[in-house]
Amino acid sequence: MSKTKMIKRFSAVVRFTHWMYAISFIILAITGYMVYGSELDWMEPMFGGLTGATVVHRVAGCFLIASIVISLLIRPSEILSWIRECFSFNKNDVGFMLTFPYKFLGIKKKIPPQGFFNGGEKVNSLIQITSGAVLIVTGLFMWLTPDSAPLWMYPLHTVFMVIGSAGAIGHIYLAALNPVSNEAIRAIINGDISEKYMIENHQQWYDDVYKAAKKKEVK
Amino acid sequence: MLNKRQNNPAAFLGKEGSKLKGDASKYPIICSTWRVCEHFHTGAYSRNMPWLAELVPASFVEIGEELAAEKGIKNGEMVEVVSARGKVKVIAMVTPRAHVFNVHGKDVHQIGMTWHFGYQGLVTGDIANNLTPHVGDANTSIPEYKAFLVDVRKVTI
Amino acid sequence: MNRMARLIDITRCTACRGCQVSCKRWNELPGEIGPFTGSPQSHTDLSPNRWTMIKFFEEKKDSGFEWHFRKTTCMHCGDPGCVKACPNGALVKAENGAVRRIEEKCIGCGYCVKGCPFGIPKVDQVAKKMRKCTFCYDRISNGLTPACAKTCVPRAIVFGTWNDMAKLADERLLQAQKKYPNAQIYGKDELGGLGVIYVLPDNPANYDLPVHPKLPFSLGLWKDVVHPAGKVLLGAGLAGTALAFIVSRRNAFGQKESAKMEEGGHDNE
Repeated sequence: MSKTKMIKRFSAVVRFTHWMYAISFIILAITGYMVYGSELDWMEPMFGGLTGATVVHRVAGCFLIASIVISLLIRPSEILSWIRECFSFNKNDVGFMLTFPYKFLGIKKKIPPQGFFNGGEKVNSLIQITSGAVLIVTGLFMWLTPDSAPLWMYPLHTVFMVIGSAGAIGHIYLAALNPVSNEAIRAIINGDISEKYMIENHQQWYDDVYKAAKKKEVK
Repeated sequence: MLNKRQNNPAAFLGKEGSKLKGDASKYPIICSTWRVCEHFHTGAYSRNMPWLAELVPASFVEIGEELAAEKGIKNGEMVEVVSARGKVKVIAMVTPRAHVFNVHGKDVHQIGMTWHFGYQGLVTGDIANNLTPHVGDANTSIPEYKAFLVDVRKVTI
Repeated sequence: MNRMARLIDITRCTACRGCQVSCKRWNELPGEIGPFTGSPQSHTDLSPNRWTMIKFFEEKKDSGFEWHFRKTTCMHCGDPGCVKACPNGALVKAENGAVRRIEEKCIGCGYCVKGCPFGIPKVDQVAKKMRKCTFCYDRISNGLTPACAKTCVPRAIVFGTWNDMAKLADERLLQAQKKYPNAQIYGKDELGGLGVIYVLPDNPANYDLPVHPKLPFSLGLWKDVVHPAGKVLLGAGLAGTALAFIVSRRNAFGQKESAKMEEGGHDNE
């Protein structure tokens, strides 16, 4: 294992906007939680009190929206293919989700061949896309039209905060702390993964790339 | 009525300036001035007191709904009240509270204004006493300011 | 301490607006000279610096013209929506019935405005603080009557314990019904008993009051269902993930050990 072949997974723009989104999301979650519950109130002085936290919440919200806009402007094809794949949930993804509890507890299991994104990533993406969209829309209404924003937007914002945060907790755990899958974090930091990991976890994707490469050769 | 005389023949009446007498054909509306409890007299004290000034922020004239409809006046509009002696610009307050009198078989409208306003203070307005007649009681010359004839016009800018 | 309340008898109010001035005087609020409103009413609505005001109502009825004046103020509800909506515990229901605001905790978010069925709280957008009637908490907790009740000349505002005021309202209602056959009491049963009991000459809707005041449905859903459920879910999620972390370390330890040796422990990156 002196030199493993590395495969490019995510472009620099996508990696940058992912982290921009992630950092904004964590700040939003923390400052938002101060309004929601009292468990994080000890952090308030860091943001200049709760009043400051609400300002930080809005600024972080702008950064979160900016990260989406930037990625869509510079690499629309990459983002659109991601969204397209997330909504094409197939049998292999279901198969992946069945083995997911083992993976979550750190037990390696044979998984059906996965595409560029595996079933779990698709589920997380779907959670983040819907909750992100709802949170941004309700949040903008609550911020910009506080007088006319209907009251049901507030519980809706809370519901999707809980769903999005729960998804994010699982996502962070799987990527950074779970010993089975945490090799994947390399893809979003350095942009590439080893071929070995690719074959193990993204068989379908490997085949696609391999076939495309072969076709090229034939031509 | 006991007597055909309408006023005291010995009453103190003038001939020029603020003592002129209006005619019902030219000034067909009865006007009265009165106080509001928020202001004191000409308002020299109370119009300089923010808590009182905010309660009655402008000089107004109460106009009945019928008269307002007749003259095309809307609530909150600026109107001009004219008498033989002078004219003032005030805000119209159209209300069902103002009365219509029947005088000699004719409908005569009544309007009412406050007289607490002047040109200085936190809130200002035209001086209602520019309209009032300087009629004095025959014996004491105590003036009678509470009933006089005016006309109301819409202010067109 | 007993729950205190104010009785506001609309049939007695003369619209002298002494309450409006004495409120500003006691609470040291500035005068706000606004535009003419089209009636003797001073302003159109309450503001952060105007915690009470008289609203004027001209009514043309079959029985003749009536002119009534309602003192608008915080109702200090038995079941206050603002307290429920407040995200930071800045609003509390005191033992004596006052819905009190804790200055330092208020961030002016305006959630209380949404929670109030009467539209009473007003947010000072510059100071980022909500302001409303305090029920003269400083006065009543020291045995004094609220400034507005103290100044009321025709005794249209009476201050006392809630039970006394409810009893007095019945007496006043009997008097009022002689002149206004449709007279009624408002505030005895609404929202757990309001801290302001009105004697109204007619239907509450004629005086800009909601006939059946209710806390918004979304507010209950938000604070009673979504809030605790969300906390449980988030807590469970965190705890579950932490547990999974420990279990996964244990499970993977054996198989990972060798790989770790080879790769130089990269998972500590």
